[in-house]
Amino acid sequence: MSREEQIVAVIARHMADHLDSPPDGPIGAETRLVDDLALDSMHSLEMIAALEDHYRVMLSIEVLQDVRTVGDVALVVAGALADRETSGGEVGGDGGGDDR
Amino acid sequence: MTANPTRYPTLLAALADRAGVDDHGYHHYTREGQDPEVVSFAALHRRVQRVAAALQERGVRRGDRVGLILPDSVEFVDAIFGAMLAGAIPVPVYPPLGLGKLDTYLDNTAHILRRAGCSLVLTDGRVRPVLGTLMSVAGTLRGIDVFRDLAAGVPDDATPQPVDVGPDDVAFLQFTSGSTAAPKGVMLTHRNLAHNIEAIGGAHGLRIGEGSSAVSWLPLYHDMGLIGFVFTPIYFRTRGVRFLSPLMFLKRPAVWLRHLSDFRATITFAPNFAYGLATRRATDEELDGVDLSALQVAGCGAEPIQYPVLRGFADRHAGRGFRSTAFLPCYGMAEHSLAITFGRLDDDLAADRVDAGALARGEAAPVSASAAAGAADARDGGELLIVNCGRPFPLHELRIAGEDGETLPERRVGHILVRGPSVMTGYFDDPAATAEALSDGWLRTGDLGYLAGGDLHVCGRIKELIIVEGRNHHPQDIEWQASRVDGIRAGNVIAFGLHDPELGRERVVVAAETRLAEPELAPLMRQVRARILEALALRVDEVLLLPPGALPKTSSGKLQRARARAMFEGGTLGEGAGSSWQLFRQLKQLAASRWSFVKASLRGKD
Repeated sequence: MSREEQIVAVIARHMADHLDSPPDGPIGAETRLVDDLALDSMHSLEMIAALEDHYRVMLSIEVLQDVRTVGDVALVVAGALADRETSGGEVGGDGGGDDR
Repeated sequence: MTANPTRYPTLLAALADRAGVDDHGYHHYTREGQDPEVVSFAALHRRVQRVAAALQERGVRRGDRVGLILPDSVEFVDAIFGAMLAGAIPVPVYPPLGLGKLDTYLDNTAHILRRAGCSLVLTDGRVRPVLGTLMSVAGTLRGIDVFRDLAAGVPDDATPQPVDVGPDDVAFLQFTSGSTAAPKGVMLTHRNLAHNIEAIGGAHGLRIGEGSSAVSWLPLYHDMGLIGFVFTPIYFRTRGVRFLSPLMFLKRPAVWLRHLSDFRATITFAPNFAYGLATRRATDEELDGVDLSALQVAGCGAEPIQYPVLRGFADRHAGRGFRSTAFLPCYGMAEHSLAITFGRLDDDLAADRVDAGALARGEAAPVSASAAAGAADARDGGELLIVNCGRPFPLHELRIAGEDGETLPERRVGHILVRGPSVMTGYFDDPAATAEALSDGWLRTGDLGYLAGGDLHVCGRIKELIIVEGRNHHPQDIEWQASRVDGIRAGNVIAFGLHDPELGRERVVVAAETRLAEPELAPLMRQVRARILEALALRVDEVLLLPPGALPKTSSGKLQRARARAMFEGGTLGEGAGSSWQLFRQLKQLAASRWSFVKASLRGKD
């Protein structure tokens, strides 16, 4: 499992726990946040906060402007993790959204 | 109406009087993990001169409408005062939320800009690229400017040509619904605002003084954030206001409480749902060391107040010094500037315990605590707790009216009507809607309530309005959006909200007719949800797809929303509704559609 796949699995688990009406099929990288999950801004921010806690990274609110699918979110998280590794532990606050 | 003088004739006069106040002002915490931008009242006064000069140089003239699509609170505050000072009428518009497609957002924004006849829109560099197409669809629009660039176009010390702005001039347009079908621009004059602000902060309100300080994450394009936390603090020269972005709060509700604690804030306001979020989603770890003992006013308004939600917040945070006497339930609406009634300062949160069955019939019959303990289950419909929202302010009147306009006695449920200097002058360029809302100075709020001991108890909206998270949704808007989804029978959609104690808010239901059958129903439901979410930023809890003819209509073909809701509550919506000659056909269709539903949901599980 690649890192992105692992992150997708974490997101899928979060969704299954938090959505009132989870979608028909399994949640994967291609699952769309709005069209498939009917995710609203509150739920999406809750997801961002949960991912921050899980991975101990800072994810800017602005990432939501650039993501459409679960896979997009996973890429943002992977980018923040990579930033943390290259900068030796300290995570820069912003810029997570641009690191594709 | 006698013209009672206010302390300041206009907001601009209040701002001018703060030109020397450099130790009080706004603290904008709009970017996560970064230092705040502090703007004193004196600095704001200077900055606004420059903005006004730049707008005039851009060709903005007295009375022109200027749209503001500015997510950043620093820019928003500069821009709204700058536009006023230039003589223009600012029109706050909600910014795109970022999630989902933009075309429906643009559709809605174009409607508002057209309706207001805006000649210019001010936005930021991030939003500007997505607004590109607005020029071609909003005919009066001459430009969409990046606010920062516009202001930078004139020297730092530029000052505007003086424009005579008086108490009867419109200060800004507040659009009531962030949506499509009939967005209406509430016209509020400086006199309206001055009266309402004095009511809010005065002796019968919050008694705001120089020692007062506030924290708000409320959006500034909404009246509670704008009038309550931008205008009122200037008027009363408060110590300071911390602004957080709404998204920061929604991401981590604990951030709100952390700032209240750090700032030793005395005042905050939020809709009911926010207190629920700050109870459920803020963890002990996040709240370590938070102290809410300085907080004197925790206002709650903008959507129906649920007693258990506020009690839950008080219980959860009592150990952090929160006192439930800080709760201040209030009732208000944009058409009345902001506030209509406030609970009394320092009174504990109070609710009226009434018989639910009697209430539905229009009688607020109190249930004594002892009777409730014994017989609550046997009672028809049980009992309800209606939060006491206090009284109207001096110079303002409120009455409860029956169907024929007659004033009802205490404990009889009727239409809430209000009159006084805070009532809007009307809806912009919409005489028909204005005439419907105002008669003889009385504003029909569209809400139902009763008086007990002279205090207002709000028990429901006029049946159809759907209020979620502080925003009013007209069912027509939701129905219109659903009708635009392929496969839905246009004009055969009914939307309604149901009070749902479990969700802690309104449950939003959309019932729509379709000719489609399984397997297209599940995708269709998702499309309806997604469309409404994108267009109205509203999450639909339930989509009910019904065969043609299943929704209740009058003989002339008008949709019957109240009846549909009652049928839904009774479990009979879609079970043979409609005129009898159609009954047999409908039952057959219904049997088919129910069956396909069962199959669709079974398939979803594996």
